[in-house]
Amino acid sequence: MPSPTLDRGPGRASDAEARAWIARTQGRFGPWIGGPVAPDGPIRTLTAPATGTDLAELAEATPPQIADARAAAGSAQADWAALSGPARADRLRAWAEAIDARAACLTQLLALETGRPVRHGRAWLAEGAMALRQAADQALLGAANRPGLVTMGIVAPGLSLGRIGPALAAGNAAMLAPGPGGGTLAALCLAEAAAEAGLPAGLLTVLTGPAKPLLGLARPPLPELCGPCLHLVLEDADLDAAADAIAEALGNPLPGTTGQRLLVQESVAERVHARLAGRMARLIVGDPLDPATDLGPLPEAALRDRLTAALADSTGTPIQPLPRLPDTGLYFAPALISGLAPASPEMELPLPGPILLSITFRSPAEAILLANAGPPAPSVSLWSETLAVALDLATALEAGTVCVNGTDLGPAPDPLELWQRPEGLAPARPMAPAPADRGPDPTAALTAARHTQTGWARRDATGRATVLARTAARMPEEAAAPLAACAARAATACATWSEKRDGATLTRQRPLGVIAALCPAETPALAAATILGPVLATGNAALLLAQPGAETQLRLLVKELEAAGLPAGLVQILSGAPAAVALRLAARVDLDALWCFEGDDLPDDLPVRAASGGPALWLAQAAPGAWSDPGDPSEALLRAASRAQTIRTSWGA
Amino acid sequence: MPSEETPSPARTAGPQPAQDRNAGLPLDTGWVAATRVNRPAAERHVAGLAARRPADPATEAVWLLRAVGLIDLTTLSGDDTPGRVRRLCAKARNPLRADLRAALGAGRVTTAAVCVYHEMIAPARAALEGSGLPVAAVSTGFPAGLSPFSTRLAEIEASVAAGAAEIDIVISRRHVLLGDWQALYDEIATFRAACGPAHMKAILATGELGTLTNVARASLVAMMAGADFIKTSTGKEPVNATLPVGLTMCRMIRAYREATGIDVGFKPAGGISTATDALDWLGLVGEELGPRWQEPALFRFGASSLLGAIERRLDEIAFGAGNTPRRHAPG
Repeated sequence: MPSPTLDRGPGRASDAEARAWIARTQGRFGPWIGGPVAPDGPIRTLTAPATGTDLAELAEATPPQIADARAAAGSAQADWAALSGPARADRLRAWAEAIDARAACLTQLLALETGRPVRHGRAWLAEGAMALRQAADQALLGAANRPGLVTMGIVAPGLSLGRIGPALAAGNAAMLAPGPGGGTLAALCLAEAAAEAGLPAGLLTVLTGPAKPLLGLARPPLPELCGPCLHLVLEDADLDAAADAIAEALGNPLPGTTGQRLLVQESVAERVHARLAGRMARLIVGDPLDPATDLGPLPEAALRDRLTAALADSTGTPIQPLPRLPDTGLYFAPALISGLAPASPEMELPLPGPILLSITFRSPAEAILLANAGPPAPSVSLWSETLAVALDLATALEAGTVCVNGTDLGPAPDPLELWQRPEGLAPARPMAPAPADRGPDPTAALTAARHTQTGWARRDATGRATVLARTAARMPEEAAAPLAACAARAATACATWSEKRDGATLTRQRPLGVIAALCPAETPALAAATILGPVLATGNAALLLAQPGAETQLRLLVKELEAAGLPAGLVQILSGAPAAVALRLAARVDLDALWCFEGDDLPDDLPVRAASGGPALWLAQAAPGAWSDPGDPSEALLRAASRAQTIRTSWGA
Repeated sequence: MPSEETPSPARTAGPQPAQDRNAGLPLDTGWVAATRVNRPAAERHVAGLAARRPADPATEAVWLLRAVGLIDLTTLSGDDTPGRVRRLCAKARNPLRADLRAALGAGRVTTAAVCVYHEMIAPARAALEGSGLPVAAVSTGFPAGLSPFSTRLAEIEASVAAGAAEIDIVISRRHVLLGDWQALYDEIATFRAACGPAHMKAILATGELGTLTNVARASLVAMMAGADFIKTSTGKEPVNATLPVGLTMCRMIRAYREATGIDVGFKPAGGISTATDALDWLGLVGEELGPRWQEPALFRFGASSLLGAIERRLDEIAFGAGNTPRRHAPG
């Protein structure tokens, strides 16, 4: 006779700390600008998605408040940047301590407001506090002694301490705009902890309300996490482990991403789908405050409607194994849609919920092709037991983070240098309205550069350095020096390997792709060599915009490079009015970065145009005389010409 | 991974009629070779079990009472005597004090079985007469399994003849370490035939198999060769039952069930000595295999000191603070 099933019984959820924190302000919140600001804007009621009950009232930031916040950030940043690195490190460490002390309150606030289970919230917070401490360490070691890149960075949406920490450590201010569903209460609690830790009032502000209108304030416009996360399963993987981890990852989506996709080898697809369905049915769905919960409620009702519609209209084979769902609250049972193709309509939908869309591939090469097509995946979990195959795929994927045999998908903290101005280059100057002139069409040049770049990037760093060194040997001294320096740096460049408790992280640098640079008019040959050295050494192609009269000198330089073994077509030279060309280039989605070292007359709306899917914009205009005495900008330029890829691995027999 | 002869899980998925015994399968080396286990992923997975233990004491007591009924109460010492075994059997028949049972609202409780060496089968049978509790005997040159093959076979036959209802055999670890799956299969299948009506538990001695992948492959071969239960350890290896090993074996039991419809039992043994250990293991099999593996037909704890630890914890739940081993009858 079978005995009754063993249930877990009542959980041990607690929201005491969060409720007490909310009650301290009678449940009314507004923006945080150097402290709590009296609510002024339209008021929204925050409800807990798990229960539907009201949590707090939140006033949106009004335009005057946003202006206040900018002013406060500007003045706080000046004081902050004037502090020494160790002094900044002290405050950041104190902030990390204050966050640790509020860990229970913060994870409960996240669970209450966004539905993220406390077990995931806790891990997120621990990572964040660690990122703050790392940034403090870098500041302490003197990395922060150079001036910040910008007077303020805006970090929106989400609450990435891995981004805020380095930005602050480098001497910047930060404005958080978590947006609806992004965890505004937790952001306010973080700001309170920062104030307690002694960060200058105004350095970290929290702007309540929709995040979108605030994005335009960002300097520089930040690469957002976008696109869906990918799970890539090869036939030689531990399929049980992969299915379990992927199903569990559905309860812990990466903030700011647009859903999760499965790419599975056709030979094992049926088995992986069956295991996934089995694991999904066993997920513990329920109260996000309970430490046992795998999957909490959705943050917003509108999302549930979208997910329900996507499932109903699916062109594939949906499976929704039903675990026990709570009776009330915004719960959505995890679902798998298999039998899809990259061209299926649902692949275009942002579905940031527990729906996994699955497509199959036949070979590792095809997996790379499919993974790199479509919107770029910020993070990939990659499952294979074969080292050579796993590394082949990891290094070929476009994703910034690849976790081998795991689902630790969070991006690595930003390098501090990302938030610093390169030495020898002055800050950007104010810009003019857009010119009427449209400039030359860069399509042919871009196509040729892109075509050649793939092969150039695939050459090893030493091979690329040899071409630069050979060129340097044939050049007059002033242009030779930057090339030789980059050749030496590129040849000795190494990836970093850092170990932690359960594995290691490999950080390697990859080229951006095609970089266009507006060269300064003065000392064109020296400037071009200074720009081309880092761009080429890291494996990029270059589009150089020559100032009138400088074209001949640039062509000579390129000729020398090609004579030394540079693939023909890798460096393209354009001519025209800088403002007009910049405008054209900023709108190109097939350009990866646009560096403006010249042009007082650059149009005002250049950053806005560049931000919408176009190239990453770098407005680091050179001060007069900068190029004849540039210090050694090659290290900063090498970093700007590449992006880090983080590969996480773990081991055990 | 089943090769082509084996029905794929997709075709056989769904409820299957419960089978009394595992009839086994022809050795499928393709499936064995394709089986891979990633240890860090297994470790990460089992690390989550602690958060899923029952949170309130009343539920915990229900789980622990169940755990008592799943124990193969074991003594495997060189100094075992009939008297010692009788004492153990008395404990197996009546593992919890009457007032403790009453306070917890539990009815009759016994352990699942008593597990001894061959020489102790007779006194154990006599002491368990009328209780319905089976006697399990460890066999085949336990614990190393390196005596002559004919001796090991004879040992099974003698123990079955002496009345052991369950035989815990040990495998030759070298067959796993050398990847000689045919030899392992033949050995276990021969043992299984010798067991006759007695249920056979195959001890894999996972602490001596080197890798989790080997644990998974040996589990599969043992099931193909007809093992009714697969068991982690003898209790004599340097590393005994660990949760990653348990997870790996559970997954193989599930894969075997998907391919054949046959339910194979699981017995972690060695090193399970605290009440929270028991909760974690019950949680693991419940999650990976379902509630039927939380009953003695398909799950056993091989343990000697676990019972005492559970008694102490139950005492604490029932009567509050203050408990010492002296409040409980020794086994």
